[in-house]
Amino acid sequence: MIYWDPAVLYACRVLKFFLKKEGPVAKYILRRLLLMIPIMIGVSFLVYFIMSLTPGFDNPARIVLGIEATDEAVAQLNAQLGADKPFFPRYLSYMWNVLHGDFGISYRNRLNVSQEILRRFPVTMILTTFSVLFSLLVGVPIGIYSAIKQYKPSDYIIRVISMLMTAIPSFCMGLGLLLIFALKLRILPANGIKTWKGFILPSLSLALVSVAGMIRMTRSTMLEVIRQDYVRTARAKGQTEQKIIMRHELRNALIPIVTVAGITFGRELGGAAIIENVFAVPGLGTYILSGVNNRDLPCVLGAVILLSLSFSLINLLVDIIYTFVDPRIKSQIK
Amino acid sequence: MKKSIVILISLIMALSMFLAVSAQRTDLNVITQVSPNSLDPQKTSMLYALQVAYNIYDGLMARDTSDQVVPGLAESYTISEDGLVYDFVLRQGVKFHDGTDFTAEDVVFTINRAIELAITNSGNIESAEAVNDYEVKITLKKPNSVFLSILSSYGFFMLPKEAVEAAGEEFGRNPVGTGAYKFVEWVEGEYVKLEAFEDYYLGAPEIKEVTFKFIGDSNTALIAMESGDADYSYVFPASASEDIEFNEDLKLFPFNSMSLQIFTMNVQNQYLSNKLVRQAINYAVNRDDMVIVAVEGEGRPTSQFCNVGTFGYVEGFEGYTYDLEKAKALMAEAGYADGFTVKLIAQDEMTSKMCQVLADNLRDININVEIEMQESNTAIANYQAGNFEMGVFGIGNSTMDYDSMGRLFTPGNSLMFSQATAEDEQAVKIGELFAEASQLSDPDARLEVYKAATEEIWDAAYYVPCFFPLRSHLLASDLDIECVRGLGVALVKEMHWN
Repeated sequence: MIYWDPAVLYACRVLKFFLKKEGPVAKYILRRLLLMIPIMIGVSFLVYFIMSLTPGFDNPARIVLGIEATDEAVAQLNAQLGADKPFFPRYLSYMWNVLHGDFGISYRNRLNVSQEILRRFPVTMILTTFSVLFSLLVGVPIGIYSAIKQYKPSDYIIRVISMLMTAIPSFCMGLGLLLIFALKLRILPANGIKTWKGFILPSLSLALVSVAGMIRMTRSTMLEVIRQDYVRTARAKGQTEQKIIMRHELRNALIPIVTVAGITFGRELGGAAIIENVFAVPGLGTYILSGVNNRDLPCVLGAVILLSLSFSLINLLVDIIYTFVDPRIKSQIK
Repeated sequence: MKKSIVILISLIMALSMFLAVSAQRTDLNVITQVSPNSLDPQKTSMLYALQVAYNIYDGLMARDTSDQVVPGLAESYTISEDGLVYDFVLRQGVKFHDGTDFTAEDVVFTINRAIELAITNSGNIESAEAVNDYEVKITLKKPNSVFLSILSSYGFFMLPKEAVEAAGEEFGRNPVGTGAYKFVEWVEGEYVKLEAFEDYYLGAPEIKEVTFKFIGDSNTALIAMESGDADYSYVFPASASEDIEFNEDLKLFPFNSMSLQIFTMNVQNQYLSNKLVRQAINYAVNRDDMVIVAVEGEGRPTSQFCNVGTFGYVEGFEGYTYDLEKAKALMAEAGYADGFTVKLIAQDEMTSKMCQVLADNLRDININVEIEMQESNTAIANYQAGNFEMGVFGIGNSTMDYDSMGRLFTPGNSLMFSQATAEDEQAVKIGELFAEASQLSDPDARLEVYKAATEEIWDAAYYVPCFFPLRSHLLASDLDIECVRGLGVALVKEMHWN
């Protein structure tokens, strides 16, 4: 409750600002933000429903206390955790608490869920953001180069390497990097995130797999754009090659690229779980995994709500970037 | 003059470097698989929590390096004639990590809390009362010859009354005990740090600092061990044992685990309700093959439910041999010479290998086995609900006594996976035999009762006991340890650097 109320007040102020501004983009953003609430409710209910189908859903105490605990102790703990409530009351009481800012405590270790999630969220975000930025900053230029030099040897080499990298699963990549950099060369830590160096290998494992996809996406979009009439016109006008690439080709290719970046981000928020496990990094992915394994409802729902919120925000960001990249989209918002 | 000073200084530096290099390490890094859910021994039974907690606490009784029950925080004890009242004289001068004294008040508090929380094995305790500051009387409802062993188990580790009452729910995150190591820090999901308790009643331990790191992936754990990041690991990939042999910096420490790998058969199933069928299955299984396939030969095949060294083990009991002819004859007698189909639940890599051997063996008696993989919590939930036909699981023995296995055979018990009800005379009889044995105090008399129970269990064939795996832990070569408790826990106070 305590930290929720100032947030509500601030949100009201932002709301007033938007309504005053009257700009169509502002209204669009507001509409999208409001739309996130039913999305989060929908996602949380869907996950709750799926979890309710797993055996042991209404008996988390048995998992927490172990196979040898007495039935009495198990019943006691189940009642304490509210796990013996029927389907809808259990969900509704959880959501009621969430609306008051209380995400509950973990069944497994009785820690405050919101605290744990806020502690782990930055870790996963760092891994995922690095990966997406790496894809954009490294993958896009390589993809452009590959498209320009189509059918030349460098194009083939790039295509083969990126196909290989797409084929390698992320945990394989992770273990391979671990062996080389942590074991043989000893320059990076083998696990954990005690120092900033601990983030390098896990981020790189995630990044190397998605950069390959970005290279191929960029290349194919650029190839399409290169063949367009307006590029021929620009060249005929005597425009420098550099400016043609930047202003005409890339800008038009950006929409699919930005879309892929957004999707990559969403996919990696989940896929980071495997990398987090391999590198023993305490992030949100392993939190959800162990939550599902232990039928730890507050953990899973809390983390899922946060993840769906971040993914919605990233999608919104992607849509806003569209309006800057392509003025035609901006005019459609009206 | 200057030159000789320089030489002197460099000699001193060289000497100190040499000393630093040859100085003993006093820290230790241990890898466990998962972060504990709690370090309160009455609120958890997970192995990875116990791997940390066993270093923080002590019980009234303890287990020595040959896993025998010996006095711990209790100096001596007497048992009444009727076996109901245990009188413990406590050691004096024992301190908790927060400096308070260990007294009878703490014992009474711990026992009462155990009863309140209804932890395993607390149901038989009637009451605990302090006779004076260093003497406690514990009264049982029924005599129980394994009570001393129960007192050495983690559920009855001694807790400080003041600290627990003050901390409430938080005690599990800030444990205080009398053990060799006191709690320093716990970063959730990353590590737990303990440091040596200098006032430990058995003397301060050699290793001064322990960090338990949580690494879930067995390959990552192996890499951490190889790079020197860790010195002891409970986790490592089974397929890497050959690599470890070739690595001079690492060694394996094998120990006899008490964990029995076993199949359960649902007697409510139309085919498996027939005792002859269950017996036939037991005779059709080639346990030697199963050990070779599932754990690469590192295990002891068995048709008993306790291992050598556990009280209740019957020497020379033949049990189920691999006898295909007998199995076929039994199936024919039961009227199922043409066999039937049955579903089998497997849990992970090792158990699914076990299941494949079973399926292969049962094909010889015309039973068609369909294997289904399930996640372990799901599988256990299904076994308890009776929602299965055949399943595989592992069961440990925390008291090193056959008594712990009784729950597998007692109708109505949550561990009676095979779903035998109170209407099944044999199950009731077996349950009664276990109850009888637990109340006798004469070991020979108990052994006689256990022999009778073993015969009945063999005849009833509710389960298919298979083997005891030989487990190992991974150590750095210059780390020594005397033993690993059958439970699978190594005590840091017993480890030292070479």
